[in-house]
Amino acid sequence: MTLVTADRVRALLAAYGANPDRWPSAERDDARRLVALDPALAAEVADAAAFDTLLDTLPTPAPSPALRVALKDIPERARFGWTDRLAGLWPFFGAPWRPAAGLVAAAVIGIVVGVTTSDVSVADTAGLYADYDPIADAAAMASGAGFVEFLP
Amino acid sequence: MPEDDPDAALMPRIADGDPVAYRALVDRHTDRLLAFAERLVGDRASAEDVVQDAYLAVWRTAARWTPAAKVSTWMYRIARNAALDRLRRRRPTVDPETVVLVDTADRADRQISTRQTSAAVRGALDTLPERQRTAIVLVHYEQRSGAEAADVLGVSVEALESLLARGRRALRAALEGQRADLIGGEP
Repeated sequence: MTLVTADRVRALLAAYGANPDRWPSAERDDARRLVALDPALAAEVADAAAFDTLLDTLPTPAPSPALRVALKDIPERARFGWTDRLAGLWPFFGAPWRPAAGLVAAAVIGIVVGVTTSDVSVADTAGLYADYDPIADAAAMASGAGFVEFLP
Repeated sequence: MPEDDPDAALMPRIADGDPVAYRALVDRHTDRLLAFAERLVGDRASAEDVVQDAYLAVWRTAARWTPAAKVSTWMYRIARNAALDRLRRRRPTVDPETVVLVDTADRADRQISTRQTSAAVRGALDTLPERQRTAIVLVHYEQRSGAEAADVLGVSVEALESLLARGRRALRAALEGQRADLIGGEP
């Protein structure tokens, strides 16, 4: 059982405003009873309610039909990943994987040569190019264990 | 596991690539997620990008989701981080002249319309530190419980209440003139 004091009601008003629906459910009923018995607290509730009304003048944005369509289309768009799109751009007859394989082979050779001859290690450069990746970020937070905050 | 999570049953289906289950999630959360994003980043185009990032991430990583996290909380977290990324990239181009929207001129000559008042609220919200703004958007505008908002922010409920109280105090100070006009009295 929690004991709700007048000071606690003031703290609730300061944090959550005047609407009891926003107050923690465990304290809500006791806090309401206290307000009903205390005219000074009731005046503070009215003051907080006026401020809530001011905050409520901010309109609630509504999604456009185009956004809804785009969001619902994500599975279709995601299904055709970058390899499919590249294949669609290939203007010649024959499978595009042949020249692509050549490019990959050249890249691998370049990386091997670069890493083995450079004085700068991969570990040295790892932090330089760290950037936000929403997919990796979502995966990291998906278990709920350990909140990951992206810090700019 | 959050036993009262109505979205939990959708997640295994989404992880299996079921677009019907995914679209049900879109129907349930898009309104709130867009409102949350727009109130954080301050403009529609960026908010729509944030929401698209969030849903793409949900679609791609649904298999990694575990019931330890409430689905809506996880989605708010993803959207918040995507919004933070956009705010970070925008910061160098912000002109301070464009974000000072709170008019402190002589109130006797002002007739403040609802649109002007909401612009003042928008401007005041934008000046809050990001954590305070997120706390107020989640609790006041999105009507999330204190516990869920604390979870999104990765803080205790006590810390959340401190963020809320500081944020509301700062907003009151910034909006004192508008408040007097709105309620027809002196601040």
